[in-house]
Amino acid sequence: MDLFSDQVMVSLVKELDAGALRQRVMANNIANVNTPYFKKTVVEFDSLLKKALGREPVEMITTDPRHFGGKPSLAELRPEVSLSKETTMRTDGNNVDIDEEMTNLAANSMQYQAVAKELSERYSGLSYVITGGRR
Amino acid sequence: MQVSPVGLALPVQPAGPGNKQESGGSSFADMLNDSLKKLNDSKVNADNLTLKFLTGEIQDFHQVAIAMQEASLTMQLAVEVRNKVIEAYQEVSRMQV
Repeated sequence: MDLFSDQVMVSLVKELDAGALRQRVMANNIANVNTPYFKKTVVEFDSLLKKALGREPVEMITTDPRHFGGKPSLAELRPEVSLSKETTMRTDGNNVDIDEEMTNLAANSMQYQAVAKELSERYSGLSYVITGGRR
Repeated sequence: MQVSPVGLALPVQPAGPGNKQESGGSSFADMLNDSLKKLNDSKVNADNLTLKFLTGEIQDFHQVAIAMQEASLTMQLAVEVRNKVIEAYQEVSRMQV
């Protein structure tokens, strides 16, 4: 019985994981806004999910799961955290843009709430079908 | 007291696969099939919009919310209709002959 391994459900759960991680990473960036030589970290998830779902416009053909460029499996999808070294905001090399972080924080929290609501609606839909509409 | 026989008031038609109502157009089975297909379509549509939202192809959450709500209401309607059909069947099966 794989009630919960449906593509959409797994994607929603992974998106929540990524949202929580993004929240922590941005909190870390904001906490270090005055730390000299600090470089911010960013979370990459959307493009990875796109790849795992096979929604990339051009896909490489692979004949073996070990080949490069193949479709990664949705179950093993993890958001990637990377250090962003290109930019600088201050003379000491710190590159945290506090306005950008705050905006992204708000956007992330809205996205998280929307996805959480949708997932809970899906779960209640399942439970409705299981009980057959009897209360 | 005059009681008219039921058999005369309700002409029973022989049941069969090819027996369609002359006036109604499509049969009850067709209607049921059509409704189930619509239910499936609404679920598939909601799933598609959800994936598009997650991959950033559409920005507006309201489209996803509307599709989800429509799918959920269609599902509730289907479950209620199924409950009523089973209730009616049980009612008939309990009937004294």
